[in-house]
Amino acid sequence: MTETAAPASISVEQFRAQARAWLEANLERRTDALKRTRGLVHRTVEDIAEQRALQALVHRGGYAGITWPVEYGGRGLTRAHELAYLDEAKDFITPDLGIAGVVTLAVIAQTALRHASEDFKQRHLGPILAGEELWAEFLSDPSAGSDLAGVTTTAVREGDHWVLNGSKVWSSGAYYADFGLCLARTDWDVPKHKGLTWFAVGTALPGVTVEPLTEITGDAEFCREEFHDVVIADSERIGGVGEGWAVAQSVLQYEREASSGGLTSVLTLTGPGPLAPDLVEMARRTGRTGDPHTRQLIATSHTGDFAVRALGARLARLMLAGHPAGPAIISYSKLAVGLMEPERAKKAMHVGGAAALAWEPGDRDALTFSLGYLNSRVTAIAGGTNEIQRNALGERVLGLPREPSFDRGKTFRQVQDAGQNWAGDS
Amino acid sequence: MADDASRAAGRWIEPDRRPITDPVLGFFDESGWSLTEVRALAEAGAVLDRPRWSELGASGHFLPAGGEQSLARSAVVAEEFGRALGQGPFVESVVVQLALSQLGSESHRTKVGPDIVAGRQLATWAASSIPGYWGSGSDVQAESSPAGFVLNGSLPMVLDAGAVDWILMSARDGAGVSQFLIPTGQPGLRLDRLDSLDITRAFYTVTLTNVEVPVTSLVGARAVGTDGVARQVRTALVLATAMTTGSMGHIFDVALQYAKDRTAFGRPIGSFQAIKHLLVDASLKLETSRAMCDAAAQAVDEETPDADEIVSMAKAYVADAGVDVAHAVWQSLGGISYMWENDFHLFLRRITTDAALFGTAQWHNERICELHSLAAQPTGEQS
Repeated sequence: MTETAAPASISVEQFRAQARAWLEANLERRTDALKRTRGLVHRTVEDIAEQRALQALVHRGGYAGITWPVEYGGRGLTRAHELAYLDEAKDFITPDLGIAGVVTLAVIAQTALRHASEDFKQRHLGPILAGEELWAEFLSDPSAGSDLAGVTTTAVREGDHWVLNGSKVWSSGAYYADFGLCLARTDWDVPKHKGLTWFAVGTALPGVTVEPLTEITGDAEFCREEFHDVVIADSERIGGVGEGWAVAQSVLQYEREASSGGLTSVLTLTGPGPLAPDLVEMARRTGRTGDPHTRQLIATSHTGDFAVRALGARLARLMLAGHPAGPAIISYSKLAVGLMEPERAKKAMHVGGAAALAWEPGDRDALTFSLGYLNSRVTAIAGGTNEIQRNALGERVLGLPREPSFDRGKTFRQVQDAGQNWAGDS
Repeated sequence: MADDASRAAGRWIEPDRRPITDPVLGFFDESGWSLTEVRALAEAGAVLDRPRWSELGASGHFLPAGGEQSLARSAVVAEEFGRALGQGPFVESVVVQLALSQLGSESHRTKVGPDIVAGRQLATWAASSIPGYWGSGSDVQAESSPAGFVLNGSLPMVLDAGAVDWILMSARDGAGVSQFLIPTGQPGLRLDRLDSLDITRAFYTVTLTNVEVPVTSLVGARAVGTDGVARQVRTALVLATAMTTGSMGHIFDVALQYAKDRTAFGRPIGSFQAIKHLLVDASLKLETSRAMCDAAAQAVDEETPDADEIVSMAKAYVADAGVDVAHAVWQSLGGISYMWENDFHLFLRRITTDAALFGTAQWHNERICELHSLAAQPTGEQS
C-alpha cells in the first residue's frame, strides 16, 4: 500500500524526521494565515478532484491512516507518531477534503472499524485512505432531527439485498461524497430504538438523488437526499439488523470528538494569542477602540475564545485521568461552543454597528464578518443541539433522572400514531 | 459534624490532586472545621478566631514556607478552603509570606515570615493600596522623615485587619510606590470594622494619620514600584479565583443532590428539563472556571509572557461565572434558599463579594485590552 515500509518499531523521532523530509519533497508550504471567521465553503468538482489527488499522494507517502491497522492500509503506529506528523505538516498545504473529508476519516472510518464486517472494512477502508471514497452521514430525516431514533426512512429486506425508501437531510458535503452512512428503519413493529439498521448507500446508485440546500448564508454545504426503491446489498450493512442504535452512539461520539478537535490535540493549551482579531479589526474600522463598552465586548469575546480551549484541555485531562463519566464529558465542549458562539456573534454585531450591516460591494472582510453572524448558531444546532447536549450531560455526567418518555413500551408504529394524536400524557 | 462526614464522599477528585487534597480534607475533618463553625462565627460577628487560624497555620498544609511551593499546588488548597467556606486571611497570608520571602529584609525573612507561616503571628494585605490596581482609587501617601517614613491615607475593605498583627500595604512618595509591613498597633493607625454583605468575613477600613514607620518596615527596595509586586498580584488573583471555584463547587453539589432528592409533581425535580438544563449550564460554568484557574496557575508557575493576561481572564471569567452559578443554585433550591438556617446564603454572600475583591470582571476586562495595547484612536481616524 505504501512506498515507505515502516518497521513496527520506528521511533517517534525517526518517524518525525522521515515525515519532515517527505513533506519538504512532496508538499507546498502554507502561506495564507488561517482566518477565524467561517466564509463560504461550497466546493467545486475541480477543487475536490485536486484534493483527492493530494490525499492519494499523502497515502502513497505513508502518512494517511498513521494509527490505522496495517491490514486496512494504515501504518499501525501510535497516536504519538500521528501527532508528530501533524506537527510537522502544519506548515504545509495538506489535503482539504472539506466537511466530507473530516466526516469520512473521523466518523465513518472509525465507526466502520468498530462495527463493520471484515469484508466491509477490506472493501472500503483502503479507498477511504487513498481519497477514492468520500462519505457523508445520512442521519436526520426531514421529520426526525434531535429525535434521531424517530427516523422513518425505511429499508425492507428482499433476499440478499435491501430496498431503501425515504429522505435524509442536513448531510454535510454529500454533494461531493461517494457514499452516505444511512440510518434506516428496518422494523416498525418493535420499540423505536430497536428497529434501526445502518447501511452504506452509494450516492450514484439508481434511485438516489442528492441536492445541495441553499443556506441562510447563500452557501450550499449541506444536502437533502431522496431514496426511491434504492437496492442495497446486504454486505453493505454496518452492524446487526435492529442494532442500529448502538452503532448510532458510536457515530455521535466520534462526531462530538471530531467537532471538539480530538482529545489529544487539545491537551496542550497554548496561550490566548492576539486580542480577538476580527473584533479589533472591526472596532478600528468603526473608530470604537476607545469606547469602554466596545472594549468590554472585545475582552469578554477574547476570554471566551480562550475559555473554550482551556475547558477542552481540562476535559481531555479528566478523561485521561479516568473521570467516572468517561467520554460523555466531551459534550461540555460542544455545549460550551454552542453557547459561546452565538453570544460572541451578538457582541460582534454591537462592535460592528452599521459597518456590519451594509458595506461597499466587494468588501470581503465585511461580508465575512456578516457570514460569521449567520453561521454563529451552527454549533448550537448541528450535531446535537444545545438541548440534546444538556440532556446527555444532565443524565450521563450529573446523574440527573430522565424525563418521562412516552415512547417506551410501544412499537414505533404506535409511537407515531400517539404523537400525531397527542392529547397530553393522559 | 454531619456536614463534614461527607466532605470527600461522593466527590471524584483527580488522582494527581489527591496527595494535595487528602491531607487538607483530613485536617478539616480531624480538627472539626465545619460549616456549622463558620456559621457560628458569622453569627457572632465573624471576628477572626485566632486560635483556629493559628491551628491552620501550624498544620503546614496551607501557607507555603519561603514561597517555594508551586502556585498550582496552592490553588488546589485554595479551592478546598473556598469549598469549606474557610474563614480568615488565606490569600492575604500567602501574599504576605511571598512578599517577605522574596523582597523582605533579613528580619522579615527569618523572624516575621516564619512566625506567620507557623501561625504564631497573623498578617493581612491591603491589596487595594497598590496604585492603579483594582480601580480602588485608594492612594496612601508616604513622606520621608528622620526616623523613616510618615504615612497618611485610607484603605477600604481590608480583610481581618482588626484581628491581625501586621498589615502589608503600598504607599506612594515622590520617588515612587513602596511597600511597607506595619504592625497594627502602630500609633495613628485606625481600624474601623465595616458591616458587609459577606457575613462570614470581617472587613475594616484602615485609616492612617501621621503613622511613623522605620525604614526597616520597607518590604523590598524603596520605590519598588507596582512591577515589583506583580508576583504578589498574580498569586492573589489565582488563589482568590480558586477559592471562588471551591465555593461554587460546594453549592453546586448541594443543588445537584437536592434536584435528585426533592420530588414535586410526582417526580424528582431534576428530571424536569427546566431544572436539568439550568444545572447543566451551571456545571459548564463551574468546569470552565476550574479550567481557567488551572490555566492561570500554570501560566504563573511557568512565567509565560501572557501570565498577567491569563490571570486577568481567569479572574474576570470566574467573577461572572461565580455569580451566575450562585444564582442558578439559588433558583433551583427555591424557597428553602431564603431560610436563614440554610447555608446557601453564606455562599451567595461570599461568592458575590469574591467577584469584586481584587478587581471586578469589568476592571480585568479593561486590563486585558491594555495588556494588548488596544488604544483609542484619535477622533476622526478611521482606516
